Order: sequence, then C-alpha cells, then structure tokens
Amino acid sequence: MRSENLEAIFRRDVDRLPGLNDDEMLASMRPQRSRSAVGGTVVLAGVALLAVVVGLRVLGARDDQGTNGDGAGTRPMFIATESTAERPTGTTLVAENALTGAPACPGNQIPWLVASFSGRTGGQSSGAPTAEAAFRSANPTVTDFVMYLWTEDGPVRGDDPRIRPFIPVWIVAGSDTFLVVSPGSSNAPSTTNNWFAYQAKFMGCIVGSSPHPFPSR
Amino acid sequence: MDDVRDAMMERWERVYREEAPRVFRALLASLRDRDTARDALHEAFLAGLERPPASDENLAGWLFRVALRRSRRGPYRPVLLRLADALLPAKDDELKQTLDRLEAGRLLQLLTERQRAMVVAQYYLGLQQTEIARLFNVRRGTVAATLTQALARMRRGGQSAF
Repeated sequence: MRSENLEAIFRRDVDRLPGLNDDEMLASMRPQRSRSAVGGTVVLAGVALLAVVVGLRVLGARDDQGTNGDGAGTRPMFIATESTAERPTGTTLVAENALTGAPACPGNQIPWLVASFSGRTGGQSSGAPTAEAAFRSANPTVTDFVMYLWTEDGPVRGDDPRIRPFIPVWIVAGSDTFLVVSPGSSNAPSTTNNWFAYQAKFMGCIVGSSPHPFPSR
Repeated sequence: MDDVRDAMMERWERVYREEAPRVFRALLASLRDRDTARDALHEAFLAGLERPPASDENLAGWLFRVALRRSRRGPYRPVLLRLADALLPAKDDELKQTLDRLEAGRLLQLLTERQRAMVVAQYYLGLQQTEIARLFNVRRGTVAATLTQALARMRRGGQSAF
C-alpha cells in the first residue's frame, strides 16, 4: 500500500511550503494585519472584529470536552451574538440568567452572551496590557466593579496570576456586565496590549446545534 | 495546584512549538488556505492547553487531527466569522501558486479534502494506518480504502511513477 516514491514526493514538496513565522506560532492579532485589503476605518474595525473573533474562537476551543481525551470535542466556552434575536439556530435556552459570578453552565450547556464587538467600549484603538487595564480604559468613570475568572464564582484581583490570555474575565459593575478577552499567546509579555473589554450580557445557557465533527465517512 | 497547571501549560507549549512547523505544513497541504491552517493549528494548541493529549506519542498526529476538526467548525462559525471574512478577504493566491508548482500540491488537488488529510497524514507525517484510524475515529479498513481510492485518483491524474 505504501509507496516510497509518494512518501519522498510529499516529504520533499510539503517541506517547501511556507512555514509559520515565529510571531504567528501562537494565536495573535498580528497575523491578521496582512489580510487587510480594505482601508481606513474599515481596516481598524475589521482588525478589531477579527481580533475578537479569533479570541472567541480560541476561547471556545479551550473548553472543549473530548470524548477520547484528545480535547477534540466541540463545546465552545461561550457563544456570543450581537442581539437577543440572534440565538444560534437550533439551540434551546434551557436556563435563564442566574449569576453568582462569571457565567457558567453545566454539562453540555453553553453560556450565551449578547455583546457588541463591532463597537468596542471606550473607543480603544488598541488593547491594554491587562484585563483590568482594558476595562478601566474602556470605562474610565466606573470605579466600583468586581472581576471574575471565566466560570468561577469567586472574585479575583486584577493582579491574580490565574488571569492569563485565552481565559476570559467577567466584570460586574452594578447592573452592567463586561467581557474582557485577550486572544494573545499564553506566554505573551504583559506589554502586548492584547486585552479588550466589551459590554456583554449573559442571557443564559443554551444547548444544541453542535459544530460538526470530522465526518466519519 | 496553579503551579502544576502552569508547568503543564509551559510543557505543552514547548512540545507544541517542536511539532507546529511540520503540522502547519501538513495543514497547508490539506486545507490549501494559510489563514485557516494557522487558525486551526492555534485552536489545536489551545485544545491541548486545556486538555492535553493522554500521551506524548504521536503529538503531530494529535495536533493535525484536532486542527482539522477545528477547521470544520460548524454552525457557530458563521455567527461571527462571516462578517470578518467579508471584511478581511483571505489572500492565498501565493500558497495556491506554490502548491500548483509542486508535484505533491498538484496530486493533492485531485483529492477530496478527506483524502488529502489522510494522504498527508500517511505520506508526510508518516503515520501508520492504525494511527490514522484512531486519530480520525474510523476503522483501519476505512483508512485503507480511502487511501487506495486516493492513490488511484493520483495515479490516474498524476504523471508520477509512484
């Protein structure tokens, strides 16, 4: 079955394909800049949006539940839409908002957030080095707030070492809630300015409409 | 506890960095889209960060498999990505031109995405059929059949003496 010639062809040729630059080895906002084929405001808006999208996708990836321990399951960490009318097709809202900390849902349920990522709060032109700084920058008049690590009940301080890129931070300020995310790499230096804050509302837990696994046939 | 988690994360990142270049090229060959390949690889890294593979055996295959799954994310992808895709259209002409120049690229173009993935897994990553079967969660016979069909297509469409 194996063909030595074919193996040689593939090893020779595939190794000639362009590799990853070191700065795009891990998830980052920077690679997206090369794709900007549109100008001015649209570029900024697009990069901002894509940064968040990448953030959401990578964040979603963290919480997967692999059935065979390979982490290859399909449960995202959260699903975010821009309005309450956009709940993902095929999903059912099984539990309403009942927060004692950051959003968390049991079993196969997924937290559903409503958040606008196209208009970043505070008009930040770039991210902040920490989650707290991102929130303060976007909401300079808000001084009374509580931060939570994603899915956890207990509050955390802004300098808590558990706050790391890829792990969203949930902030409660009175009746307003915020999602702070960083799509940077896990070892990114604090000067990467990669944290962004968005006003967000936890709508509840949804189930259904799982992403497709790799087809078996 | 946090120290243990940090150590695991650092270790995972280290092994990921060792395997990522090869897996990325395997994804490029399979998916023919640089951004998709890169994003899928990133997501595989993150999946391992949260839930590392059970053993260090065949990490390249594990990353390849998880990344392929990520590249096929279903109904949730359009919710946020369609707008991003519209704003920032991918430019993969250069990659496609490179693939078209290379014999392997031309051969892979004759195949379905699933065939490409298995061919790349076997002939580039060097995985055995049993490993491919386990990674793709199919029977070994399915892998053999898929590869046989792929070889036949490549022989019919290609000009190589393999």
